[in-house]
Amino acid sequence: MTSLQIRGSHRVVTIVDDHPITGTGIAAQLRQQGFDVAAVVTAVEMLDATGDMVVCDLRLPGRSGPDAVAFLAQRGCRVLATSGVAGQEEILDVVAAGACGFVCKTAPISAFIRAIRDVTNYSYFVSAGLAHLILADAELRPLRAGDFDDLERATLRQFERGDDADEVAANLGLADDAFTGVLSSIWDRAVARRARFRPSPRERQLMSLVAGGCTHKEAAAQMSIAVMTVSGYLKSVKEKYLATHPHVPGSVSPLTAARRWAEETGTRPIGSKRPGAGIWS
Amino acid sequence: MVGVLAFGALTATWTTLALLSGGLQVEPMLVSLGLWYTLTLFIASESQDMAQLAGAAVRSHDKLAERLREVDLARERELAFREIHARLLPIVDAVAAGATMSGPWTALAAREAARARRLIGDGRGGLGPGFADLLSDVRDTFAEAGMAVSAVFRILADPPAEIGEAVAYAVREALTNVLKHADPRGEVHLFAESTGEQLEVVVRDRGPGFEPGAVVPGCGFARTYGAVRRLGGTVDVRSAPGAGTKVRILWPAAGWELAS
Repeated sequence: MTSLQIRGSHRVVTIVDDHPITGTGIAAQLRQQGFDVAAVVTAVEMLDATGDMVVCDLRLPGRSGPDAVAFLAQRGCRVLATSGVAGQEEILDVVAAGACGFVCKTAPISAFIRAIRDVTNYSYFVSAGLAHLILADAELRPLRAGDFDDLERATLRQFERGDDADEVAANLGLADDAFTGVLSSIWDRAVARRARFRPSPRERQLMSLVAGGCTHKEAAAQMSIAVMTVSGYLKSVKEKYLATHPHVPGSVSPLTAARRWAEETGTRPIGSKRPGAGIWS
Repeated sequence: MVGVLAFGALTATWTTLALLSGGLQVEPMLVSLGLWYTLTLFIASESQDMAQLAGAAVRSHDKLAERLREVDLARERELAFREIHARLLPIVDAVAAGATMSGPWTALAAREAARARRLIGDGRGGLGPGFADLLSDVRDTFAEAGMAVSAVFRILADPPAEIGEAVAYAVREALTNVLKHADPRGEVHLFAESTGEQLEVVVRDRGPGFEPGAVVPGCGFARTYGAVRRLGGTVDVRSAPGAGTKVRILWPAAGWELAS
């Protein structure tokens, strides 16, 4: 298990991190393990190669995490997202945006190596934590039809217990291709359910405004809508928030719900860098 | 002592006089009067001594109780300090600094509020620390020691307190073994699931592992894991050289597939 065999040819890795020290730190450790780190860049736009394996930080200036991941995925990259601060909602949104897996930034380098290996061998990397998030999200946002079957649930439950992809595949008696098929189906459903209880573009814009400290009136002025409409949007945001957060009391104010959700999803307040940048944009 | 001697002498005189004169006379009557008088005096002085002794005893007991109260108070203060400084203040500080109370923060705040309630004897905090709290404490201890321990908990209901504590100690034992025998900077995963009637806990490390037959089980294996077994659970330790170690705790022992 410590011998991390890579069956494919994906030993070329690119790292995107706006903190050069973090990026080069990971790069040095990967090189030590025999990986070919093609480049360490500080923004997704600086990447010229396509089809590479990219380890991408989720806190890049001017782009939300899912935004950055979607940018890379559209260019054919296999994206491993990494962050030390991303919340559960943001991680799931990053998966929905096209990431093949998520590695916590504080994890030892062996976790990054296993992640790269699993993405190479099985197209996806499922950490114990991500398996747990995906299962929990399935409870909150059940699909109306064709949700996880027993095999997919059993797969995720084994990942939750800390087994790695090779072990889970062996436990379930699945060949590589069949196992990749199971993971791919898990991914499709995990992505599909993110559309449920999702704030509309205008609601997202409002969330980022109030998270930045705008009052109803200021937000209304910014969005060129009536204050009454702002209240309506906030009420709708609160309903969706409560539907996906069963432990939050119904007495939470619409403004608090919108702010908290903005925080959880990494929807950053509007700043000078990129007005209106939301995670779903 | 004087009382006893006087009592003896008077008794003797009274008996002699009564024997010498055949009938009731004035002298024996007087002597008996004196006899009863001294006897009363004697009893009075003795009870006074006893009262003094008892008083001294009560005073020293009070002193001891006071000392104990002081020790208790100091301990209570220390506990309160620790509770406030290490658990409540960071949350209050974060709020003061303008942090938005999102998922993890709200969960932490709720947990610490329950803890604080228990500490001040408010029943709403529940009876004892919950299973998730016990495990989180164990995890935090090792994380603070620098171990990269990830955790997944699904605690729908707490197991009986006795089981919960025994299992938490078993987890501590398993993580201590990781610290001792595996790479302390390596990956370790802690999984816990409890429905109240059933629980499963897995400690999985990716260290060097060991040959099960070649290792003599230590004290922890016999006693800490033994406690779980005595309470009706099982502890399954699997390892192979180069394959890391997996400790799986199940309770109750019956009704599980031990295959995976």
